[in-house]
Amino acid sequence: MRNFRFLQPDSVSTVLKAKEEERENGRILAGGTNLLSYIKMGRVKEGLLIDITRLDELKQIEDTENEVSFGASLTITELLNSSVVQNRLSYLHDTLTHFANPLIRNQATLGGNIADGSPIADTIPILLVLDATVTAASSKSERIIPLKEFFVGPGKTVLAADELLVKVSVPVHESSGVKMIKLGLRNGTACSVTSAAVRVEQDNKKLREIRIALGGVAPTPIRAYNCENALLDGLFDIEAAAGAELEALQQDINPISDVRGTAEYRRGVSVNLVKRALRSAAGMEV
Amino acid sequence: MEKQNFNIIGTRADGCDEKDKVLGNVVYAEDYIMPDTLYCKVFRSAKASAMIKKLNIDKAKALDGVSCVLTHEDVPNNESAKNVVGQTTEVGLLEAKQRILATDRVRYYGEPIVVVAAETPELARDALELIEIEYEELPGVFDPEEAMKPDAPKIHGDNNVIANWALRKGDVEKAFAESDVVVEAEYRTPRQEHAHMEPESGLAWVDDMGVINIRYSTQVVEHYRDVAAVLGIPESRVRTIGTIIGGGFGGKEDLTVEVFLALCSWNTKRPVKMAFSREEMGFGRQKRHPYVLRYKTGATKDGKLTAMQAELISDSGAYVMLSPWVLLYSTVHSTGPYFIPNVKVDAYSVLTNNIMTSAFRGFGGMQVAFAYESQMDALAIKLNMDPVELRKKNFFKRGDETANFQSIPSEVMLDEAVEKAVEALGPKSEPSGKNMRVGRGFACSWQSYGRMTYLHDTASSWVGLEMDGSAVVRCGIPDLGGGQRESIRAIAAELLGIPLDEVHVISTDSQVTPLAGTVTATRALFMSGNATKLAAENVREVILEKAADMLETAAEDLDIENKMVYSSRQTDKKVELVKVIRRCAAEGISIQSLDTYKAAFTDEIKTNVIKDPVYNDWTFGTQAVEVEVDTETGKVNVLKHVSVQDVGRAINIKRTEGQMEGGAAQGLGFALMEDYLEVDGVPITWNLTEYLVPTSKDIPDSNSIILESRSGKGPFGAKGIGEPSITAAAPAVANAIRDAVGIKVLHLPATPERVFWELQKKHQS
Repeated sequence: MRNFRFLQPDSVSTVLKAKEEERENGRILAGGTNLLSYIKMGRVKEGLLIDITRLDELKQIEDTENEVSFGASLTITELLNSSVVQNRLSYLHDTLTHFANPLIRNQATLGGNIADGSPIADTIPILLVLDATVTAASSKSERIIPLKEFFVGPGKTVLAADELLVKVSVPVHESSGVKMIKLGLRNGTACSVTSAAVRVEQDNKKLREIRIALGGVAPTPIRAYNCENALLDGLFDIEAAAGAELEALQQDINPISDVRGTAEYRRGVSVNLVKRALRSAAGMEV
Repeated sequence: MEKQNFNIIGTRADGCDEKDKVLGNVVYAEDYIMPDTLYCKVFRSAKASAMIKKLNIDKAKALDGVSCVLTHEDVPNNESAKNVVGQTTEVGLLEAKQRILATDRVRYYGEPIVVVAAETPELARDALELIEIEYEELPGVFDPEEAMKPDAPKIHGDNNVIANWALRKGDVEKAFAESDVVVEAEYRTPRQEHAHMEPESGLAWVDDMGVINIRYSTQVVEHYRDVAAVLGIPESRVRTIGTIIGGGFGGKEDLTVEVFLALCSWNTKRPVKMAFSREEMGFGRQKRHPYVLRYKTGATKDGKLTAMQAELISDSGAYVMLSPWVLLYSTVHSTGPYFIPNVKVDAYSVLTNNIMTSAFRGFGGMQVAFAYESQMDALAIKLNMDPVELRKKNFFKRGDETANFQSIPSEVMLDEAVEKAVEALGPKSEPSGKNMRVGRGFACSWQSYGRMTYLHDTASSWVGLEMDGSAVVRCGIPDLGGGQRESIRAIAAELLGIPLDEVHVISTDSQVTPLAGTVTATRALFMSGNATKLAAENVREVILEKAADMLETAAEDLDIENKMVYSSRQTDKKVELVKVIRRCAAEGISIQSLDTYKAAFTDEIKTNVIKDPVYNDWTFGTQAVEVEVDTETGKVNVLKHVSVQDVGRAINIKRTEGQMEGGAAQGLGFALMEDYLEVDGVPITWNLTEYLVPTSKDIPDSNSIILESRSGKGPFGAKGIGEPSITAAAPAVANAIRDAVGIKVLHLPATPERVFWELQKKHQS
């Protein structure tokens, strides 16, 4: 740790100024659950650690008619305790109860989980199906990025070196059914092998709109556009959709084999996860 | 005059450490520090099989703040001194003894090469980075069956097979030919990591008498002998002091930090401290042996076992460690707790360039239990017979002869255990979803307690009364968390009739506490408990004799309770314990006793075929589980778990249940997720993100049912429970999965992916 400097700014503008000066070397320390392990592993060797945990500006929840926005440094526990999440985004609440473990949830932040760019981040697939956006700020400007355009590769995002992820905005889909399912190798504190989220809009048992997103099956979290389109094109009946073979999903995913499972297993199991999430989101028997 | 009425034994009495453990107040080995302490770190091999072409430590030595940088040239005797730790009898000739620091060749990834000590842990780490090394890679061998082939690369000497044991009883060929049913299968078990919470850690210093003191977390106080041998100094000049241990499970049975600490403090004459990092606990230390087990079992149509044939192959890693003895356990236990008239077993332990393997709770008993209990369920299916009934027809009875021709010396309460286990599962759970399937399974096991009898095991203990009627016990038995210290406290308090909190136990200081051997092999209660019982009974006898004198009655009629000596026949005859003690003191009668308990002694095993008694006795038990299998993902959840064990006599109910629950959790981890994976000898699960142990969300509330046959060889008829608690968990899970979805589980752990593919195979066929 001798090669690190430490900054605890009192405003977001100070953070952005530091990011402008330090660029990649300015390391955002929010929950630290990723950054500290990167330092321990030697993947991050030096730089300025910018502690954003005490900035109230990044801890706000804005609850509007069509959208809920979350400050990037809200912890997962803070989200779980939020009545807005519990009441208006109950499916997000359900997903977050499967996030790592209580200790990590107390530390880890929503912004950190997104900005880290992991293909298996626990919050991403559900945020993707909810059409979430993130707000990135620099000392010069601010921009809103659809989450589906945010990820570039493992650990890589479109965030510029002088930008800070400040806000995550989640549209409220009152009439949608939403479900995310995480498959880990154990029930608590497990990295996902694969995860899948589905949002459906239905009208008299007819499928009107569908979003499918997955983690752990490609270099980034992905939306399964082929699969979504195939379902919308061919099968307006929700029961038929839930029973479909979902062959198109295989074109959306490109999994690798690693210590947690083979590519073949991920291909096989992700179909089942999507189907189960679809059944659950559509209110069918799971 | 053996005491019969108990006030402390068999209760749920609190010990002196549980609360402190929960509150984080226990002082563990790593918490100790002295002025001017140096920090020690180990430079380890980054290759699984290579020659060391060049090693340059000059830059590390030159770094300011580095006190010593030691290689094999600085180690007076670089080979691990003994074949079996803490042993008074040398056993067999073995190659592949462990080196303290590698010489010109490394044989596994993580092998220690250099040890450094510096003013701070950061400087020690910096020094490691300044060490320059060049390797020339050698062909390695990573599969034990490949390593058995004649042209395989040799790890040491000219034969990779370092141990071979066999059983021969009756005529299996004939028996199979006459059997009505025969089942055959090949099983594989994982390389399990101990994953104890407390890392290997300690502090060493050379005192003003020139003695090396090592205060550290160990299961074996007698490692001071090994340290002395490595340093080439008298054993009397090395003193080991134990601490409360934050888990060991056999992982702290072999040498850990003590030799590194001793080398550095001996060289610098300063206190030296070290603790393995979590990653180092991954790649720097031994695991449980992975096994390949090929079993063939035959039975008559009415379910009597006729024959069993097995081939067992264990991967011993790059050094011998305790592999031959783990294999011996597997061999003798390979039949399961069943009388089988015809048995043929051939077992091999084979060197590879994988991480070393050695002692781990179960000590070879677990791998074979997975196979023999899976075979029993396979037979039950083939015979269309209730698996409980099939087992009941074949359980050992007291006095039956095992396949190593040893008579079962104690009660076998397996009929009762299996009935209670199955019954305690209660009504079957409903599946939680339409693609979920619920199933049940159980497994029975036997597991020896106490060391192998040819090792001539002994334990000593000292008990003394104070003038106020309190007592001190000195017994060199580390408390591994199982309540080893608390058990001997309870035994002394019970026999001397004094409250538990007035007995103090000094448990581990090699130069203060009488040697009581290792806390391994489920021997601590059996051995140190008996030794303490002997010593306490000696003191009790002195007190009762003197009290009989004072009360003018017979000693046989007297007992002690709550510091009062009283007659069970005449209520008016009683005298305070303190008064008797004072009378003894006035008359110069000793109220202290040192005694030694000897286990059964047998001759050394001279042939590969085991034809003689090897163990003192066995603990028998059953575990039953209910699982839910997710047919869409292959994931298995354990919904219910029951363990029923005949512990002979429970000295403390709570601690006994603690062992049963802890063993079960570790066994369920072995069944479902734990596997230390390597690719060509390079570990890929060396941290706890990838090496998964079960969390509280993976283990159901366990139902532990204690049976007490009072027929064991431990104090008051106790048997051991530390290891037996783990053995049957995995086959119970495997049998439950088969019950739920009809697939055979042949390869542990039963990960979601393995179950998923088995389900696909079944679906297609």
